[in-house]
Amino acid sequence: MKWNSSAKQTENGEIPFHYTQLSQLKSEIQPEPFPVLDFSKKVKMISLSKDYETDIITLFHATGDFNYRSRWQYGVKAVEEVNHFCHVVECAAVV
Amino acid sequence: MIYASSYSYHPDRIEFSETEEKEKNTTNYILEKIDDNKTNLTVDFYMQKNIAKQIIFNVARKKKIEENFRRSLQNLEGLVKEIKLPAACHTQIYLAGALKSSFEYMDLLNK
Repeated sequence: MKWNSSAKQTENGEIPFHYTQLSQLKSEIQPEPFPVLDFSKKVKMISLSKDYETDIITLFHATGDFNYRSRWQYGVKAVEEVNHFCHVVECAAVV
Repeated sequence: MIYASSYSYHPDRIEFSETEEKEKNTTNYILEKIDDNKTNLTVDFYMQKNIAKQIIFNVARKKKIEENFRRSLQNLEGLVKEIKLPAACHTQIYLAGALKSSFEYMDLLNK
């Protein structure tokens, strides 16, 4: 990093300071690894699979966006989002 | 209360999970591209390892929950036909391969 010097003029006189660009540091930051859920303490109880006549991104929106959840997930009446936690409101029967 | 617990992205495979806060049951969604207009969705339901709870689940709840999932997957078929994403949305997702957290992917979906 290359350091430069300058001075700020104030009513109380000149204040010298040094500065540098931090862009190089930012470019050296490695991306954090994706959070991987540890399934070793869990057991798979149910597995279902289905094909859909749509592209992967549209399906991702449909399944991953909580705003759509009540439109397809059986038993979910509404989803209330509190910060990044979603409170799923379930009802006993959904027609 | 459900929270997003994991997320991974590849143009041909997206995987994310949600965990129920109290019992720590996790539903894992795996989306795999078959071709440009066809995608497979696998939904796996996990619970914490506990022999007694597993037995109770298998006897008392599994059939109903499985049927609920089945109906949900069926409902999804109609919904995906209604969703029309702008082209920019697809580009945004494809460029989002470096998302650092599940929260970021949720923010992305909400844009």
